[in-house]
Amino acid sequence: MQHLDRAHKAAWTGLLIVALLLPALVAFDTYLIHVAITITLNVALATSMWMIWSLGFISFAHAGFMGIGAYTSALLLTKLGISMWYGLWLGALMSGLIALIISVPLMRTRAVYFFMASWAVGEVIKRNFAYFRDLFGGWDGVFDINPAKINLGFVQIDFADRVAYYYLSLFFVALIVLIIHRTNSSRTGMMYWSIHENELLAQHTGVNVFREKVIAFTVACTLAGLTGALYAHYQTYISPKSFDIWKSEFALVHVIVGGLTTVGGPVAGAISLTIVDELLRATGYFRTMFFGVVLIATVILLPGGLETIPGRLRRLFQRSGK
Amino acid sequence: MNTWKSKSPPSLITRRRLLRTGTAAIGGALAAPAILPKSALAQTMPTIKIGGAVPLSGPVAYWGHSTMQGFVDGAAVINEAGGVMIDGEPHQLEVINYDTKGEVADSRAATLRLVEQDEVKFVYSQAAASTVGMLQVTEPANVLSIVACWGYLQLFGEDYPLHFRAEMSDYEQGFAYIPYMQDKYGKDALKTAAFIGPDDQDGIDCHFSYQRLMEYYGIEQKGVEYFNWEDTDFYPIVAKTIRDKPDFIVTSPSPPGITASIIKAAREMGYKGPIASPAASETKTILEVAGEHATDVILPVTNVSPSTDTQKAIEARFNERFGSFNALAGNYSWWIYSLKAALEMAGTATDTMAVAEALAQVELNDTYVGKVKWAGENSFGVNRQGIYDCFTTTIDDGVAEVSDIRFPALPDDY
Repeated sequence: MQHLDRAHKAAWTGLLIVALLLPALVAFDTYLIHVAITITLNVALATSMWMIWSLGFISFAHAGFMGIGAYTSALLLTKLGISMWYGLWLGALMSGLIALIISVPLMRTRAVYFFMASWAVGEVIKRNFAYFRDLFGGWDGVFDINPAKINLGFVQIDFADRVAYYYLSLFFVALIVLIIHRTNSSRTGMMYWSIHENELLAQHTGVNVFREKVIAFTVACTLAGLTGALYAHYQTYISPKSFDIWKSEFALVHVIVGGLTTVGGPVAGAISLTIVDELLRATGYFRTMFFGVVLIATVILLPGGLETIPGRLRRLFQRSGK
Repeated sequence: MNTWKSKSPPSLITRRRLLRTGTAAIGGALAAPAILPKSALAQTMPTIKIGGAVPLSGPVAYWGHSTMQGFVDGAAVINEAGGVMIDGEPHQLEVINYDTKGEVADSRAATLRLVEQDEVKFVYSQAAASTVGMLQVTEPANVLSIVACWGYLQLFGEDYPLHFRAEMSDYEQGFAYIPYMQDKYGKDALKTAAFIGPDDQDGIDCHFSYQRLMEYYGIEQKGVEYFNWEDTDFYPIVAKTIRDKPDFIVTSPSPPGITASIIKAAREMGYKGPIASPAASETKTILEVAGEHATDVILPVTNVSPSTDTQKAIEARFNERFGSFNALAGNYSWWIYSLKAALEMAGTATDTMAVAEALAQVELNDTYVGKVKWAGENSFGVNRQGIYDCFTTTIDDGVAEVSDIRFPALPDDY
């Protein structure tokens, strides 16, 4: 469905080059590298949420599955001493496993019922983290979720160092975006969009709708779990509140502002809105209000989201060329 | 339509133009702090930066704003009076505030910005989540912090020598308001108590404080009920609470609106005992919501009637500077004066450990909350907990007034 044309390839390559050079571009300013890490995590979450959207669903349980990945990796480290390197994958796996089980009833719901059910699932996940105090630490949360060190023989890398963590995070977010992009560009992706457009029609053309929905939901939640594990080891502290409904809502806003039709949308949305939110931090009281104005202005001035900017610019240049 | 367009003056403000201009203006305003060189804001006098990582938006923004106002006002007053004198040289105070939304991760980000970009050595914060996020940055970076945080006691004490908790928690308040209640109602009338709090870490921490207090005063503990922050109907949990017939109810940390709803529900269901709310610190909402039911209400650390010259001056300045004044902001107004005294005593603005040692010794006698000192050595191993005169306001028959002022009678092992 989506074959990258030259312009798209150039844009993605440019973005990757900028991302790789970013620490040097910001003169290794540790605070700006922190912002960059936040961007990578937001991109990963928004992109995996967008994968569920490609089926035509908005899941408010997404932050909950991010939390499952985060708690799994955190508890493996703090209670069993198992390193982050295993925790990242086991966190993703646990999230995927639970998503697979939950998706069986969840994916039988549609439209507003899915919306409500996913909200309930997210809330139940959060409440479980709070309720089972001995296991999850209750509302107190889990502390000391330290990142790992790696010894390559010739060099030792401590991922408590922010530049090192940035590249680790960048690697995983690139992997997540690549997986989602490849899936979306494949025949499987076409099936997802056919379900998105008309579920009944898709079923009549031979698509096993229920199976595809379960698989897509599970994969997206697995990737959200991986994001959660990365988040936990970066923040070094998590609590149930870290994965509440607002986290899902912000991811959704990133998707909407970025654009809903290509994987570039959530990437653009998460990058730009994280930067805007950071710039607004100093405005204090007006932060939420300005953020709202920026959102409304984007929706009004850029219907279709940020992903439509290249097309608009192209048309503008074509017009001015005549 | 075309004719109308052609007759329109060229300077007409169209919706599109307005949107474009507005967007450009907002963009410019946002970019200004990043674009402007720091030297543009530089002052001639040496500057001591104080950073606020406080919730200025979100559900606990009221607390964050009250805290921020204390620092902004105090810095202006101190600067006008010649600044902070360190080794005979005057230093100006500059207060920088960043919003944390009351979230841990956001607070960590705000504190990173304060410490790494603004090179702040002194940070203040408000509420548990912001404090947890802030502490991840401040202690490793040798930055002194002053906060209002009642819970997470594992993050307080000898392992956090630069961390001060200026606001009395409901535990410290208890050593003032419970003796007052015993004086007012008689010990025999207060033999049993029940607790209502939010279903989160704050509620659990406050219940822990309540348990220790009740044990200390030999009061039998009856029911414990937790509410969700989203709750609007408090009748079910209040009904369960009063079923055990406690002599009085403690609700904490419950903001004024929730306190009022609990009072209203309890009174409507016939409960007549006193209801204490150590975190409400406000009377207007309670009077408006609970109406005629607002009676036998105990509000510790709530000075609604400034009486001394200092208190009146603070109220007047806050009204002028911020357009309003609340007792909670008054409670926080002494923090910056305490820090100023410590900076001058330590003779340094860079050695934060020396400032911390000096701060622990500071005692002020004339603040909005009266006498102030730092205590807690026997409990926490360090004197880092603020203790001050507890102004207890009562509401009886719809009338709110300060009924008692006393310094908490802390136990010897505190």
